[in-house]
Amino acid sequence: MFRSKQHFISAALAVFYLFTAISCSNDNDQNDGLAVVPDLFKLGELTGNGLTVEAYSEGPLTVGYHRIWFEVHRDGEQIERPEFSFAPMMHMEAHSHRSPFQSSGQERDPVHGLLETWAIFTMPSGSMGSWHLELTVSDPERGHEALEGDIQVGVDDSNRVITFLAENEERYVLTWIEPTEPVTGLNDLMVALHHRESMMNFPPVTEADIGFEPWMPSMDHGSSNNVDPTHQGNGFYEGAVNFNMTGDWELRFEIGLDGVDLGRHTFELEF
Amino acid sequence: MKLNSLMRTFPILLAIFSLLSAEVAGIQEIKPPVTEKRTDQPMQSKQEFRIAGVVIDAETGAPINGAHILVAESGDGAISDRDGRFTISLKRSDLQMGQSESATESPESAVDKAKTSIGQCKPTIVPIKTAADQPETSFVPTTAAVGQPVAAVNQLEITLVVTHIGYQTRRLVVDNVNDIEQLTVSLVPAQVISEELIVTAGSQGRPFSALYSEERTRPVEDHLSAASGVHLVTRTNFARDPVVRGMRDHRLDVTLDGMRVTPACVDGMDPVTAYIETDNLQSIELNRGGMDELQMNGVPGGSVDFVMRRPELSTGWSGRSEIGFHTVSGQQVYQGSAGYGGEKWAVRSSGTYRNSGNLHAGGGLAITGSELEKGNLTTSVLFQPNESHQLTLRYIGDFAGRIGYPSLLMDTRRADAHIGGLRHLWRVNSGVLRKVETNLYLNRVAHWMDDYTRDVASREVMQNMYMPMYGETLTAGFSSEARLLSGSHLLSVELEAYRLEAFGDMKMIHIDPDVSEMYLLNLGDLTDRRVSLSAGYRYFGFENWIIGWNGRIEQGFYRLRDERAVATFRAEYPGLVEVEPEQTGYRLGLELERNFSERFAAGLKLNEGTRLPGHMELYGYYVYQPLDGFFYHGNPGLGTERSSQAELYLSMEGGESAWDGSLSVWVNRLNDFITGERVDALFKRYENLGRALLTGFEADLRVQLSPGWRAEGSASWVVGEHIELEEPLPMIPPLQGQMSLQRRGERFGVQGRLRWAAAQNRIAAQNSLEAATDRYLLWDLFVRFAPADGVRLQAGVENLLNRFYTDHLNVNSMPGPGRNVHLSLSYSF
Repeated sequence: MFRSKQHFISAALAVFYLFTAISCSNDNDQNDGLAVVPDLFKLGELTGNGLTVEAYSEGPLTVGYHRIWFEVHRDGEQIERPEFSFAPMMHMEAHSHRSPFQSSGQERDPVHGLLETWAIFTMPSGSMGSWHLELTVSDPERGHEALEGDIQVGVDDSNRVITFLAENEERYVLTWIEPTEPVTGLNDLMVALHHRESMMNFPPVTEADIGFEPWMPSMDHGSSNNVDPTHQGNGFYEGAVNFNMTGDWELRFEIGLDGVDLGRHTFELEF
Repeated sequence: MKLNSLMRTFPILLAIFSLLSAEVAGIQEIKPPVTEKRTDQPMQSKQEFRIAGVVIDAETGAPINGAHILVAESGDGAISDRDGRFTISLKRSDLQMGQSESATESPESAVDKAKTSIGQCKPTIVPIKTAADQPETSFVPTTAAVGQPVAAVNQLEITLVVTHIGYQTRRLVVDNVNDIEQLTVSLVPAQVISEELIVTAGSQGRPFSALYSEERTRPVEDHLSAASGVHLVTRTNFARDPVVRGMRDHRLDVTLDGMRVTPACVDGMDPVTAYIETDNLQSIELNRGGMDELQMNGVPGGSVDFVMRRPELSTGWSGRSEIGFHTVSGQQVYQGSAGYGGEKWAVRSSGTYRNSGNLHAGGGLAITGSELEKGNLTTSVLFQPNESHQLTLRYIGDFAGRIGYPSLLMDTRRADAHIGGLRHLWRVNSGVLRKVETNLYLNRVAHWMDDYTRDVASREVMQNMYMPMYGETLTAGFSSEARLLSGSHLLSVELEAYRLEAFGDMKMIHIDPDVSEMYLLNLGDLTDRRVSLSAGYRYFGFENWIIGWNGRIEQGFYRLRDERAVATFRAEYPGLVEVEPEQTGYRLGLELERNFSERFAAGLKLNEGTRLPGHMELYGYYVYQPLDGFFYHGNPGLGTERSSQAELYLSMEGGESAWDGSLSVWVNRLNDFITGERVDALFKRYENLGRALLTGFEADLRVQLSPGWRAEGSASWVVGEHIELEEPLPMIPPLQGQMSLQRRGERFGVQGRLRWAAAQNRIAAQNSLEAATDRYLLWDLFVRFAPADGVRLQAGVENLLNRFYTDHLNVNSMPGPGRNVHLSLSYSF
């Protein structure tokens, strides 16, 4: 059984870099008229050529899955359907790599009215490297690429991502997404499984069979009425987990893919 | 004061023999009873005639079985049968001689003479003490026999002395006597019965006898165990849980003076017996199987009601203290009480303190961790503004410091109970409505337990984990019962409503500080509200038959107020439609009784109904059951449990014989039986799971060997089987019983007792951890000595031979107590 414990130095202060490390612009005057979405956490913004891109998340970034929202303004006015692409990139001394993500954000979410996408950060930022949100914005009216750059973000450590080497000598990324705030009783369970084809390519695994069992090691028992995660699209699997008390829990997954045993993988949880 | 002191000193059963023994005669005192004269009888000169009639309860109109009717002038007498009927044949010559002899005697000495005379031939029950005189209001005119020629005027008069335990003694003077066929004598219930704690059981109605029944330092369960058909679940040297006909917990109503008190410990450490002392009680009333003719329980096991001791009117100041010591556990018990009784109000307060070391099993094996310490305070105030109304305010405060439970995972650290109630009794001695009794009550129980003093690293269950737990219940209720009597029709109607609030939670703290603390709700702040209406009817109009029926309807409303608990049960039962159900239960019963003679009767009781699930069965969560080693989850989706019962009984009581006895054979079939269904290797859920069948018998026999000596024996047997699981039900007692031989005198009494049980090999081996138990036979010896008025020394040795044994209902096969030498000394004034 593969059990990953990532012990990296916490990069808690990195989040404050977002407010100072804007790479392409120092024109602060242009930010004055931009609205900040009140219930979201602003990751930073990229400005140039009269365009401003703002990035938001639900909170400070940690290793794991995050929804990320963008808004694009031209001269202070919102562009309703901008053309832009996004990708997370970890810059390390020796090399760089990406992680699973959704590039485009053409649809606006009904709650915030922002362009929504997501990314899975597979390691924390810190002394080993830093994460950047790479952005490219095209201006259809001008017919050329209008803005390109990145926003450096801090990512704290967590135990929500397991990258493992399976028996088939392939590497996979298993991400525990839900529950984010577990409660006593039945909780939605969501995980994502991606195949690390290369350092830059992480296609979703859509045919996996995932068995699931929550377990309290200190009590030596689990719980009943849990639901094994099944694929819902794009590498995301949904099920249910029953926590019958608070305390230390293990989320135990057993994964198979096309007859290949991808192993047993465990996330530790405490609430 | 002296009179009271004397009367309080002697137990009821001593008085029973007071009519038999010359040494008792003249010392037993009875307050001057009511005396009446009847002068409307036709006269007759025949030498032999008879008096026949019926003795009834003045409040309810119910016939009184076993009342003693004595003719003071001659010593003749009779005992009323199950219908309250009696017949006395008299010779006129005897009466004339008796009147001549007693012409100068006081009424009391005449009674004593009568007791002495009749006591030589048959046993009698006489209350030691009665309340103040009450005017006679219910003497029913007698009817002379017809067709007899009146030849001459006869100036004879006779005095009938009518007594029964629990009632005020009546004296009826009838002059111009002749045949009397329909004399109706109504007895008014006595306010105070006796110093003894009396155990009665349903239609048999006779007290179970034990020499130590006056010892108030003994735990309540010692008295309860004297009744056949009653067994006790033992978890430690304290607070044993009654089991009636194999039924316990939610299948048995255990009440305190009609008040429902809900234990707070989810692991069953604190049954109701944990919060009461013998000193709190006047009697224990059993209703085996819930089939008593007028009482109707909503549960198939019946009821155990601990009737509280009430203050006495017109007694002035009184007090009592007792200390007791038991060697088997080093237990010291200190008890004291004081009271004052005026004409219209009375008050009584008492306190009991217990401190015990470890219990020792037979052979001297110390059961470590079985120590206890607790205190109990009780106050009762009685107010009786007139003869019709009586108010009683009661309060019990019980406070336990530490109680070890060696058979469980944890020990009680602290337990507090505050139990209060107001009772109103309205006596209506005329018209159809005879009595209305209303109870209002409120009680709160809080219970803390933990295993901080246990070696948690070595145990198999919940290893390396400390588990402090807390439980709390709040029970408030109301009940009102009305009894109506019209001719031979007796009807009882009762409305009851109560509300229970219960909460329980626990932490699990690993001995490794790096492991985070765990927390769960055992009872998620629930409410269980019930309202019920029940009625019972009896008809006495047939000559040799009594018929009766009863019915009950009950509605239950449940709420689970903690959202975490709701989420928990939603998770456990994803298909559950309603977490907070409402349920309806019913019960119907029928009774037929045939009297073959004044002594012999046989009857059949049938009972059919449903039981609403209890709050632990619905909402208990993660509750450890040491019986089978599983953790139990409640199930809000449970349905009602249906039971069908039948009981056939034979009774041989009253009359002239020295032999009394009864035999009951019963069967109880439960459908949709609520029990634990295995989920995995660790957990069970309550489910309506198939059918269970229980059957058994109880037998009692009492023999008056001589005026001083009395022998008793009882036995009971229960067989339980789960039909679908094809194995015995767990925790079913084996065939067991007891025999005793005793002699009670004025100053000295002695009793030898033999307790025995057969081996129990019918165990639920597949679905529990129950272990078979061996047979045992234990000898006990009790003596009582009263060296002076008000002073009483009691001593005894239980398990005389120091046998090692295990009662089958001892949890985790905890052994029973070894040889126990106990002493108690009491003083009362």
